[in-house]
Amino acid sequence: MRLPMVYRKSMLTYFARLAIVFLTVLALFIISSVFGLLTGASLRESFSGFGDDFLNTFIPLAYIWFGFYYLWVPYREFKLGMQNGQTRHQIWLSQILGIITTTIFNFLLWLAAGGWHYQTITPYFGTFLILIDVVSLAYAVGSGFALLSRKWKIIVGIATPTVILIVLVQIVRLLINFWHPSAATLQALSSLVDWSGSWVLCGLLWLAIMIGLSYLFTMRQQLRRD
Amino acid sequence: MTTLKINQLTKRFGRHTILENLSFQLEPQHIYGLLGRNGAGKSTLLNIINNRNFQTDGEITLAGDSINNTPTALQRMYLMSEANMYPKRTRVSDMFKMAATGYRDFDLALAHRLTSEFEVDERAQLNNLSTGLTTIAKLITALCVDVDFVFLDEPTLGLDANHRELFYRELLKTYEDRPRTFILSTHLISEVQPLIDHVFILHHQHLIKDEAVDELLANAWAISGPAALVDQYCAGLTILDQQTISNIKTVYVVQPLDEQRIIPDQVKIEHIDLQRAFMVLTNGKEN
Repeated sequence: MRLPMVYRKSMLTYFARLAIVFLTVLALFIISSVFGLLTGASLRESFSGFGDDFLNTFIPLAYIWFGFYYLWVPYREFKLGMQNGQTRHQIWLSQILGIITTTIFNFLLWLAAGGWHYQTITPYFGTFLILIDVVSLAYAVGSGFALLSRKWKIIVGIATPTVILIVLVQIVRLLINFWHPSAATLQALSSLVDWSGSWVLCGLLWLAIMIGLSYLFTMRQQLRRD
Repeated sequence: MTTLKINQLTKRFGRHTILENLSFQLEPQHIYGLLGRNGAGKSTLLNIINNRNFQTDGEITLAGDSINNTPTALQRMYLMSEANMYPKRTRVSDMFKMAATGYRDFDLALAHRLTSEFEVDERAQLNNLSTGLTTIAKLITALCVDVDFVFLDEPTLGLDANHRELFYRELLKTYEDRPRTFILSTHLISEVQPLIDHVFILHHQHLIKDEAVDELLANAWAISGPAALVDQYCAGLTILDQQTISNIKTVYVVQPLDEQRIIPDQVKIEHIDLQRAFMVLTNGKEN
């Protein structure tokens, strides 16, 4: 089975564009420091905190790119894969491999930004789980949208968040009006929320659902004419 | 090399039927022509055969296995189509690299020779190329990929006469060097007639012809002469198309003619070419 084609091309695109973001932010910081020098500030003043400021700007942008990338690429990579003799299954596996690679990269960025000093493994695992949960959501949404024509993308893109919002508001209203839990129930619920294991379970369950959905959507992808 | 079989294939979009119950097979080492009028479903058929779209019903098998999600099958097929499958900024050289990574083999030396012959800059991005040059870049990729079935959908889109001629020559050359199956879907029927040995004609959702070109043309006739004599000779024949200028009438039939039938002196019977045969079969009217 040949995996590398879509995976290689995908990673090349991801890191090439991230490099552009990196160089743009770096250039902006250098220009602003040079302006500082030109306006009479000392070299130390102009470049003080350069590294931290640069990282604090670059890393959020890198996270945004990380989330956006898998919303954007599923259909693009489907077409590339199909043109080059790949099956839907191979394309999906390549994309999952890409998700793992980019999640590890973004996790390393988080460590580089100061996340390395924790004594226990929980924060590390939690961060990794959050990163992969977010990107798997983006990938599932991107794969689902790849099934839709432009018209339906707009309809679903507006309708789905609206429906979710309305449903959530109604649920909260119902809970407020009709649900009056006892103190013991509230305590039990709060201990459940406090227990990190429930968050881990939720995170893993979420990941499994998103990966399952992305698989279903990718296996149904077709060439569109719009 | 094995046969690609299409069995009872149907495609519907909603209530609209595009292809209905098509069955045919593609044998190794042939050059096929896939003909049909605009909207006949040629591109849809090729997309389905290459697993880019799903059929509503029926199956496509290669060596007995369904082609759907089968890497060994898809690795033996290549579809060049007018659909844009590459990101805008893809360079011609990137197309070659991707094909070389995706398929088991890619003749890079041939690709370099062809880009030089067609005068295509390998460093150029697809979005900077004209329609014709984009088509050429896609064609070069298709000719250099080592697969058993090469599908070319509108392979001459935007190509000038010189480039078309060069393409036909290179197609035959690569076919001689490494015989494999080509399927050409085109409207330039006269130009591809010398290349193809078998023809499929799609019309009104159905495959109305699945025949060797020689056999089809052996039974494709234009019968002309004084209207009364032509009518007398053609009694009982299925007339697919006809035209009358003054008293001279020409009728077109695609069927074997009875050798015992007496041909009136003033009636002339001639073979027609593939383009004319296609037009009369698909009910093309001429003024």
